[in-house]
Amino acid sequence: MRRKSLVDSILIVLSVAVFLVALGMVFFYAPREATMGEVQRIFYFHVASAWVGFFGFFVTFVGGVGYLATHNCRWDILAFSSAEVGLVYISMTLVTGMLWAKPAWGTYWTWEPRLTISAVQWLLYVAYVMLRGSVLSPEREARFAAVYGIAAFVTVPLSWFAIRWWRTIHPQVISSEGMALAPRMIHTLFVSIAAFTLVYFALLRQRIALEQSRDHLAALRLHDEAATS
Amino acid sequence: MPIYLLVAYIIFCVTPLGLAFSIAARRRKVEREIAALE
Amino acid sequence: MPKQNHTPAMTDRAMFVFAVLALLIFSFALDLRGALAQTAAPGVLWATIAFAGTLGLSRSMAREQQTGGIEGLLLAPIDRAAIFFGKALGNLALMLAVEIVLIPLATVMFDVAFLRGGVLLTVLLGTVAYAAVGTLLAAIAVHTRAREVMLPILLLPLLIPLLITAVKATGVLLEGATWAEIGGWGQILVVYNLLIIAVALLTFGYVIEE
Repeated sequence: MRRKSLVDSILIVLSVAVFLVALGMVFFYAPREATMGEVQRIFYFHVASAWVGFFGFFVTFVGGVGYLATHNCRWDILAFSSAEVGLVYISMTLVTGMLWAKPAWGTYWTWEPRLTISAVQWLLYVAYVMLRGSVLSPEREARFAAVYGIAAFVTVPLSWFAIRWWRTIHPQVISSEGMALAPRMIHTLFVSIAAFTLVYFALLRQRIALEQSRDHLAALRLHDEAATS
Repeated sequence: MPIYLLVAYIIFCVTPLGLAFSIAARRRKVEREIAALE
Repeated sequence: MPKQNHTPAMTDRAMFVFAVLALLIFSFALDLRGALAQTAAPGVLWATIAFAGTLGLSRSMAREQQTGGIEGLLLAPIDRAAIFFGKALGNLALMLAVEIVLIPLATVMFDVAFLRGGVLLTVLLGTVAYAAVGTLLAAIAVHTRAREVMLPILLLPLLIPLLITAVKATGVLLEGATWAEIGGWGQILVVYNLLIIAVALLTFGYVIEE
């Protein structure tokens, strides 16, 4: 237990540090973009957030596969812990995407590929969470969630391709792909993604630890009941 | 214009913190109950 | 078992009526005439199929609750895959039946040439995929608290790539392209089918086990 805490502490410190470095780079290192101005800086953390949202989904998928293969609860805990963190990040992606769209294109929403795929992932996450809340037996809940997590994740790459194609047919929609990336921008983006990934793992570890504590509590209660009856 | 940038970055900083606090608060509650039983 | 106050046969008829009503409502709501009707037709057709399909799947779920079908099947030495295919083909047949009514009606209403090889193939591919993923998710939804309400919530986000692709492919085909010319859209349709049927076959057993 103590060893795990050390890794967790290092992870937390590291993620905060890299996050602050990324923040600094976004505002002081990255150059000002020509057409959009300062508002363009939203791009770095917005993309990093979208990446974590997708990665979280992938981990939920892995957790589902692991659970179906082994029936070991640890995989299911991994799955729904990642879903919780991932949902937060995808929501953040959508909101900040809208905050970028408004000054950039004049409208809060646009069917631009990344926003659209984030919306799709958000709906899938929400469906996953609703499913988990709606099943009566915990064992079934884990099984059903695993199956849904797998099926849902499999459709995400397909959605990505379909949406990208769907959107390239309408050239009047300005895509963020049209932005030329200077080297300093690429560095900032890379560090932002690294920062968000570290924060994701830190939050994931904490969420899993919470669940392990809950399991410990439940076991203690059962033991108590058995002792007193 | 800059207001969108500001609000966005406030969200980027506050949201993970909020989640971290939520997890920590829930964990503290559970730890307290464990301590009560032990 | 909760007593159903409708028979599966009535729900079948309801599905047909619903599909026709949906077409009409889309026409009125969007004021679909002339060129607008032709542009909107693929989308309207697929949206109608998407929603009517959930009705059909709910019907299968309701019938199963009534007769307690699944428990009996699990006792028999039948391969899980066979159970899946049985259910999926049943759902597919029902959807195709509705489409046989829907497509000619839409052809007349919107004055578009739906009754062509390429379009019908697209509809078939789309419906097969729908039936596969719908059957899997219906088996899950049946054991949730919300039941029929849960099904569209689970199903529709998964169908998004299928719907985008089917609508686009149908639209392009209506403009006179051949199957070869729709390129990538056709590929996505086929890949979606392969992937979703594979996932359904691999995971259906886990859903229905007790």
